[in-house]
Amino acid sequence: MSALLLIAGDTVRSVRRHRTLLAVLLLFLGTAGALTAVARDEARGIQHRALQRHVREDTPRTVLARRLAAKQAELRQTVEQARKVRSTSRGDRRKARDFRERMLADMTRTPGPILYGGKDPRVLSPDEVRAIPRELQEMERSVAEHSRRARDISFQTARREATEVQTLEAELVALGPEDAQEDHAEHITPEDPDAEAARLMAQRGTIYAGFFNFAMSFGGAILALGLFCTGIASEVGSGTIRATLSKPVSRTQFLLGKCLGAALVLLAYSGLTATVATTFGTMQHAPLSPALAYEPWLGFCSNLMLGGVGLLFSLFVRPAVAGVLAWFTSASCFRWFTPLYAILPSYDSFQASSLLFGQRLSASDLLLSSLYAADVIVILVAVALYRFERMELV
Amino acid sequence: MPAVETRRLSKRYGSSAEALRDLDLEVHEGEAFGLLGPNGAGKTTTIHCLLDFIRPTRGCAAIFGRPVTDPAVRARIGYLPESVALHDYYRGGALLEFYAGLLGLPSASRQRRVAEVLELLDLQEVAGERVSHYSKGMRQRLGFAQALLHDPDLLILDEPTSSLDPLARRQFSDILRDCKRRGKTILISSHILSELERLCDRVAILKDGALVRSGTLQELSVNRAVKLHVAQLPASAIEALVAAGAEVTIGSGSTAVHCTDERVRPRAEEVLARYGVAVERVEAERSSLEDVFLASVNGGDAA
Repeated sequence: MSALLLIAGDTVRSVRRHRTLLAVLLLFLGTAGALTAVARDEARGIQHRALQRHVREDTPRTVLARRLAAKQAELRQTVEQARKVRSTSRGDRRKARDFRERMLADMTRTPGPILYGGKDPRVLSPDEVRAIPRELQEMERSVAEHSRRARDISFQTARREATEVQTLEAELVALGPEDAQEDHAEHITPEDPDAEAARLMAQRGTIYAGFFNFAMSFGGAILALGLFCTGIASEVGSGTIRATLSKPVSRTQFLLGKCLGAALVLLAYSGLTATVATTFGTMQHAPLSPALAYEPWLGFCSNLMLGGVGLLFSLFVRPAVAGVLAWFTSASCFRWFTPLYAILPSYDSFQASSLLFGQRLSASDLLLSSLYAADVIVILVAVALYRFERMELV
Repeated sequence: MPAVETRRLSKRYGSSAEALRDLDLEVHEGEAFGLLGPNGAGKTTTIHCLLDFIRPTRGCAAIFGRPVTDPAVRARIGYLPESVALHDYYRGGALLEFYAGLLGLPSASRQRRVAEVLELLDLQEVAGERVSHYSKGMRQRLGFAQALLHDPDLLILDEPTSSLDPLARRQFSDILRDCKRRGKTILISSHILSELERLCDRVAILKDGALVRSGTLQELSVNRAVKLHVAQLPASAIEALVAAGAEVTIGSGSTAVHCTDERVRPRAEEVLARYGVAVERVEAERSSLEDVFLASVNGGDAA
């Protein structure tokens, strides 16, 4: 077991040997990243312009300003209303006093029975007549009281609204200068109701998903083929395997150690790619595909299967030829050409693009895909072992 | 129990002629055994079969009584390939530690042992450098160091000194002699016959995949060449002796008749008897390993 782990560690260490491959991979990733950045900046520019409207309408400052303006308008209305109430109440009181005075004057000038002019006109009794001045006074007092209350309510409302206006003005000042609002324009959430902004955000998410898809499908596949196709073949070709296998290490341990080491490198690559994509995506507030949660694992499984095919081929033909052949077997467009595909793995359910842009996978789908990959890898490694045990290592 | 034993070991690569034909070898524990032969004789193929790098077409091989296909047996073997290929992304010391790990050396003694072999082969100063920066000679020494790491009971060395300068060659020879002195078994293939002559107890000469001769150096060379000392020779006798294949050396006091081949001696003795010349003294002349080797590979017989 320790020999197997040592060889796995040696394989991880040997990644340095693939300097050219790593350089090409980094070049591809760098290009993808640069293209993504360009696309991102373009999207940001378009979005920025599109979001200018939101800056005016939807920033805290504009919202506050809108509220302040509304409140000021309300205040103005209230004050106007209060003035009117005041004016009206004054008029009512004056009218009530005039009416009382006129009535009393009429009563003094014209003695005799008084007719009440309601629905049922009749002659008032002397007691009722004596009560009229008091009732008129009561009525006048009542009118004055209502006027005062109406005026008080209007002015209280006006005062309250004036206080609110002052508070809003203070909040507006506390928000700082206009420039600070620009940032907010960039941090607008994807849930923004603006359709154009939402569409641009979705585009941004697609760009990141595309970057991840590229890095995982293309870069991961190249890395897998580089590791697995040359893992054993190059050791046999260069003769380094002879020093290793002159130690008490079985061929099975050697092959499994090589596979384990290569698998660890691939797993690290998947994790790294997913981390990079998620981090950049999050930094740019792109709506990340939920598939990012499980795609790294399935991408790893897919690349492992591809590597297994490459490993098997490399035990029969040169590593470069093995790599090209393995690559062809992974391309669905070549599936019709040869019956060999009947026994080679299918990568259909592992395609990063369909995972990222297609429908979501359920937990059972994920489990089935993982089991399928494990099954394929075990078969490939078993066949590779059978072949490797019979190989001439010279 | 022999350290190395092969029985009718044969190997054919594809449809070409057999690289090894019915090889029977037996290397005893504690002896130094040399494998000789011209290029393509099957020396490296034999070694590769012993290390299970290639599988024989027929026959079998065993090391310390166990089949060579058993990986555990390699814990007792130290192997130095002909052209040392090492992982050049390691530093020298780290590479030896990696091999020490594969050999199962306890981690406590691993570093100590690595330091010892580095010192033994004068590699301490370059132990921290990457193997890719090593010269050919340094790689060869590092290869030898990995073979000696676990102080193995059997050393299998394939052309160990072919790429070394004379100083390093002497160093290798000293180490090998020390191993032999400590009872280690050495199986060595080399073209440098003088080296084998000094080190080996027994040698086997291979030609075209088959064993031509084997035995101790004495068995291979003794009693084959003789020098017959006579008092005087008539001129006609000298002509007859030369015609019979002998060489005649006339000195101041005596004359010597060299019989370089065992088939020459009876013919020379017949000539001397015909001319009535008495043989005063017979001196056995031991031929060198080189003579034996050349005679074996050229004519299939020794001088």
